[in-house]
Amino acid sequence: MSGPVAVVTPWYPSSQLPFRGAFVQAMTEATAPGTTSFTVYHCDSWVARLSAGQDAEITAAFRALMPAAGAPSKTVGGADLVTVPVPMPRALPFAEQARRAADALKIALGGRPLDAEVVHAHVGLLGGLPALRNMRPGSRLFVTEHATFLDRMLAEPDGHAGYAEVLAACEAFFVVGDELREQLTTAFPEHADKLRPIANPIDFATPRAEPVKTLHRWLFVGGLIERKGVTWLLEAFAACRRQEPALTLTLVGEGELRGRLAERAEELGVAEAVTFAGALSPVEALSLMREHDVLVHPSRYETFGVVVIEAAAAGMPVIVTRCGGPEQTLAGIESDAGQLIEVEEDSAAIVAGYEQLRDRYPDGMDLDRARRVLADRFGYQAVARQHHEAWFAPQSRP
Amino acid sequence: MRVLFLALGANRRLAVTEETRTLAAAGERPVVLVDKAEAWSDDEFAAGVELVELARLGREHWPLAAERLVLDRAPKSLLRRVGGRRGKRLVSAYDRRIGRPLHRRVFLPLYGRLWRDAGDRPLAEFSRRWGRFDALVVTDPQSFPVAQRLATDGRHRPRIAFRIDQVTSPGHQGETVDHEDKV
Repeated sequence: MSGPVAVVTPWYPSSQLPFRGAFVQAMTEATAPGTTSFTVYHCDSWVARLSAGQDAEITAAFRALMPAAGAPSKTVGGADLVTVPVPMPRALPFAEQARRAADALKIALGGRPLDAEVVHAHVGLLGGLPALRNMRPGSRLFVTEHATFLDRMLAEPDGHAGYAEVLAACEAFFVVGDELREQLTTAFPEHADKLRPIANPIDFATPRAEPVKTLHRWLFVGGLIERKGVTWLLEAFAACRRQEPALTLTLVGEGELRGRLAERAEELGVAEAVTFAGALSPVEALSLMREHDVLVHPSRYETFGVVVIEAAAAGMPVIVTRCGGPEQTLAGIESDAGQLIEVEEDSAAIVAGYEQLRDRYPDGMDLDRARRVLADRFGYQAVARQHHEAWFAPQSRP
Repeated sequence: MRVLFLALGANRRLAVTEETRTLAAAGERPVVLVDKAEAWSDDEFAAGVELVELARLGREHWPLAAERLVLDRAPKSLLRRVGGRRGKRLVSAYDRRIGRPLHRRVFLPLYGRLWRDAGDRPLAEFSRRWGRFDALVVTDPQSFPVAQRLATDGRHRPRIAFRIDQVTSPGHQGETVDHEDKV
C-alpha cells in the first residue's frame, strides 16, 4: 500500500445535507485504511440568491478569509476532511460551477498543488475539473462518476469540453452502472478504454436481529420525486392493503411530492398506515431497514440503486424495477434477493410483484446466499481492492 | 470555548440548528448571528443557544433613531389608530411600499455619505456587547464579508471554520462502523 491520496468531491455528508455523498464517505471508509495519508477535499457548493454586487463582495471576502481558515477535521477511515465552501449564485451552468470549485480549492490550498501522488475525483466535471486544475505535475488522476444528471452536464458545450479535458487527463475513469458507461462511451468513444465499472461500497457487517417472517412492513428509501415512482408505490400499497389490512408503508426521504402523497394517502383511506419518516441519515435509514420486512423500490431510472443492495445487506427482500442499475447489481441472484418488476406507468407491476413475492416467501428464495454474493461484489473489501489495484499497482501507471 | 455561528444568509439553516445543538449538548453556549430573526421562526434552537439579530443593532445612532421615529413609529401608530380593523393591513402595506424602500434607497445611502462608518455600526455594537470569540463558524455565502470584518478586527484572531467538527477537532465526522470485511 502507499499514498498519499487526495480525494476531491462536490458531495460529502454534512449537517445540512446528511445524505449527499454518502457513497463518497463509504468509499473513503473502504479505501483510506492502509494508505500513508488520505485527505478528502469537499468542494461544497453554497448556493444563494445573490446580486452581482453581493457575489463580488463575497468572493473578495472569501479570498481574504480562506488563508486563515480550513483546518481539517477527521472523517471515516482515519482520513482528513477539508471543507472548501464554494459560494455561488443560483442556476450557474455546470462548467461555471466547476470553475468556481477549482478556484475555491486553489485558494484553500494557498496556491500550492494538491500534495498527493494519487488524486481521485468524484463526479467527472464538478470534482474532476477542480482536481485537474490543482494537481501537481506527475500526479495521477482517477475519477468516479455517479451523477444522475450526466446528460444535462454534457448538453452544455462548456460542460462537454470540460468533461473531455478531465477524461483525457485521467488514468482511469470509474463508472457506477452500465447506463452511465453507455452514455460516456457514446459521448467520448475515443476514451472508451479508460472507462471501468465500479460499485459503491456497501456495509454488510450488521445483520438484522430476527429474519423477516411476513412481508407486512413495506419500506421505501429515496427522494419523494416522480423519478422514484413513489406515486405508483402509494397506489399499489393501497390496492394490496385492501386485501391485507395489516400492511404498513414507511417512506424515508423528502421531496416535492410529499404533500401530494400525504393528500393521496388520505383519499385512498390508508393515511393511518403510511408513515412519512422524512430525511434520515444513512445510518438511521439502515437501522430502519432492519425493522421492516420488504423494500419496495419502484424507481424509473437508477445508475446503481445503492439502497437495493443495502436492503439485501440488511437481510430484507426487495421488490425493485428493472430500471438500469438493479438488474445488473442483482444479476444471478434475482429470485434469491426478491422480485424484479418492469418499469410501468401504473401500479399493476408493483402489486403483481408483491403478490408473487408474498406467495413464494420464504421458501422460494435464499436471502443469505444473496447477501453473501453481494458482499463479495460490493463489500468494503471488494471496493478497496479495486481502488488500491488501480492506484498503487505499477502496471496501471502510464 | 466561545463559538459564533455566522448565519446572515439563513439559507443553510439545518446545518446551523444541528451544529449549535451539538455544541450546546457538549455544555457550550454558542451564539448565532442572523440578519432577521423572522427568517428563523420555523427553526428550533437547542436550549443554551443565543440568537442575535444584527438588524436590531446599531439603532442608537441618533439619525437612525430619528428616522425610526419619523418614518416608522409615528406613521404606524397613526395608521393603527385610524385604520381600525384594517390597521394591521395598512401598517404592513405602508412598511412594504413606503417605509422599507425609503429606508433602503434614501436613508441608508445618505448615512453612508454623511457618516462613513454607518454601515459598520451594527457589527461594531455586536463586537462591543458580545466581545471576542474563539472561533467563527461561517455557514452561508452572505456571512463571508462579516466574517472577514470580525476576523480582522483588532489583534485577536479567532479560528475560522465551516463545520463545527473543525472546531471540536479531532472530533469524528460521520459514523464509523466496524466492518467485518473491511481492510
